[in-house]
Amino acid sequence: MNITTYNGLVRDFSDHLMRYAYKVCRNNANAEDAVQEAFIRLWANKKKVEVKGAKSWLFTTVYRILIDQHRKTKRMEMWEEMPDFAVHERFDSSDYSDDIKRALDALSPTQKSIVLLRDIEGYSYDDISQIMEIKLSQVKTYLFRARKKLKSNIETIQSEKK
Amino acid sequence: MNINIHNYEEFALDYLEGNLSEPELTAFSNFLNKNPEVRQELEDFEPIRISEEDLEPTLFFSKKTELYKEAAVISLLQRPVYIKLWQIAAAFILLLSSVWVINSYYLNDAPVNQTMVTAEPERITPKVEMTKEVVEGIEKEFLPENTQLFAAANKEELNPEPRATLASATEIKIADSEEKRALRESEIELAYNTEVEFVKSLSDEEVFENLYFEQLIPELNRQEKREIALLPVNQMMLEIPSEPLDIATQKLLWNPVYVEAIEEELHLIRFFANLAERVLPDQVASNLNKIDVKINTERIPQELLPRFMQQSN
Repeated sequence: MNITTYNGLVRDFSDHLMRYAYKVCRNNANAEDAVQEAFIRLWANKKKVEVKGAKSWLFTTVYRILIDQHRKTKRMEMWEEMPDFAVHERFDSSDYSDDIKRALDALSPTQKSIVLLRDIEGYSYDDISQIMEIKLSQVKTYLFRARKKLKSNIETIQSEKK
Repeated sequence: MNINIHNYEEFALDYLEGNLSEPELTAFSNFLNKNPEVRQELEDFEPIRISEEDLEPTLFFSKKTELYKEAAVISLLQRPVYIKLWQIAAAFILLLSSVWVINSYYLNDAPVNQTMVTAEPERITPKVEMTKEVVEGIEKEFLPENTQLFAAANKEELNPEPRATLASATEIKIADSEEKRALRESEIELAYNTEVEFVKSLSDEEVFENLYFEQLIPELNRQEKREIALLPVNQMMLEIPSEPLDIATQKLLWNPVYVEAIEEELHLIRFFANLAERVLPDQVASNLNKIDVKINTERIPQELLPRFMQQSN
């Protein structure tokens, strides 16, 4: 990987990674730190990381960093078992898109991460399995649960508005 | 295949998306028949998908500039060209000054009264005026056949072709001209030192990037490749093929500029001849001939090769 390629990756993917990280951790500073750290690690590993796999490598690294950040603050609590905390908060917007955002935010970080990697980045289940370093069966299970949870969250949000 | 209430979620999405294999579909259908509440759940399932709009479209990573790396490769490539233009400009000024001095003091045949110390000095009239023809003659002698290119080089719309051609051509003319020695001892010496300092100022990482420049060529775009193809001779790249170089040879090649970043497993080293010739001591440069140096001479006329490379061919 040369400077041109590396700079191209910064240009093309840093915003993607930022939005992904922010959605997962819901903290602007932490998201920014994670993305920055991921690119620093990418440059340090430029001889090992293949260009064609750099994007998924970046997502993997950002995800790992977010996990580490989370473990420091929440100790070893499992992300996928985190309780909902946002769905019941007061939310006055009537826009359906905002409902989805709110419902997504209420997912656990693991569920959010899988949904984002699948729906936004378009990764296959196999890719997501590699990025998140979990079994393929877990990816499918977590994604199914996440979609069910999204639907349930949206129904809750909309019923509270009535 | 055993699909049960504890693992059915693993197959649910593939079922809904029609991605189950035949055996899986049979097993999953059997499971649904035994668990109607799950069948109902899946029938009611409306997958909600997230789009870009559902994220934070206005959220951007704000530290891009901190992460970008400077393209040291390009600056290193371009630098010698600027040095040559500067050399030419400096040499031209020097030459004009010399002519003026000669005209003023040596070609003046007017008598000087040594005894009239307090007398007003006579007005010196040059015998050879700096007419247009004289200036053109100097230009012609000093920059033969390159005046047009030189003018083009000073224009902002300069493109790589005349720049490279000029650099190559003027390099030869300087090398072949009578002024070579003087230039070597003055302006070129300064340019040499400047370039050495420049190379020494590079970090290991930057030098490393430059060493591997040739390996990076496949990733360059067409314009970049074109510019490289048009580079003058003293920026050409040498290729030391196949056999891994031992540490001693690596140190021989790169001392004192660069040693540490070369890896033992490296099988191919390419570098700039001008660095080898100028930065490395002569003895080290001559040692290049002791190893099997293969030169990419496709676009490089023999007379444009550096001296020590001409000997090896």
